[in-house]
Amino acid sequence: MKSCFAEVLDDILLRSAEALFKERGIDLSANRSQPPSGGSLPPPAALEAHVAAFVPFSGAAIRGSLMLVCPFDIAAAGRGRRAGAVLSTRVASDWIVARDWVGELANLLLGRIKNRLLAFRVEFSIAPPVPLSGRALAVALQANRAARQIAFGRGDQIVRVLIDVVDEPALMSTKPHASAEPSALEGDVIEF
Amino acid sequence: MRKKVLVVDDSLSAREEVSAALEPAGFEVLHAADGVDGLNKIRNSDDLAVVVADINMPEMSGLEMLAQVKREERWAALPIVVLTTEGHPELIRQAKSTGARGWMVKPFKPDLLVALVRKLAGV
Repeated sequence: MKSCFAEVLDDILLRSAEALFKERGIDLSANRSQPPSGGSLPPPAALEAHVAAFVPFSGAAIRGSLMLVCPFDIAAAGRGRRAGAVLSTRVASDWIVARDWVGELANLLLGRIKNRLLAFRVEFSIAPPVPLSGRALAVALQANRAARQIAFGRGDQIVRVLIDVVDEPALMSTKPHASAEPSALEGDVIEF
Repeated sequence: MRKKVLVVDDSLSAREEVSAALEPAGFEVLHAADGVDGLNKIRNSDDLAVVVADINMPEMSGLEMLAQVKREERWAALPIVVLTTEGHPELIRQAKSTGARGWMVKPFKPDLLVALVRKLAGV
């Protein structure tokens, strides 16, 4: 049993993010970072192309946001396996496609987290993702917030997943409810 | 003639993944970017075989689109499959009671999507 809900959330976040990229053929070694106490995270390599998506969520007992910040090349590699040609930073329209794709990745990630938190009777609604892109994107977080961060590396490229949860998560259950109705999970098919 | 499938999702990438699964299986795939767009395309098409729709979309959700489509007798028999990241049992019950024919949780397995769409399209 996890000692506090933040650990439950960390564990779900880590496993969900690892699985999401691994399913797309991208193995990233995870480094569990300490939650930042405020200020900016270390800036990425100068001029490295990034795509990112911010996804707000809210429920009765939990609300916050998830941000996925991903080097352009890693996002492109994950998309290319199913959807045709690999994206290039040199093609203007590919930036649009890459932003859309990282928005979908963030949506998939938060959906996966949401489905696992249902076992803890933690429920929330997910807003549409807000994607963005640019070079050397840096992320600044407010101090004293319950922000969790996981960084994944491939060489000197870092994928960051940040989840910022408010409304007393420590008060919530730290073990799954035996009576919780199981949710459908990734890949499940239910015919009516 | 190839059967037509309408995929309704606000993500172009998600729509392209569905196309990449269904087109090699012989389907013609049309796209709609949200529930409003989906509803308009359903109302203006006479030969859709199946609709595959996301839930969380701007303008109009997939469940709202499903409810509106099923309120119109003309489209009562049109098979609609929900394809979403959501797995909440209550949402699944709601979709079933509103008239959806299936529920798939993203990321989907292409062969399972093809099998379900083939079955619903009568191929």
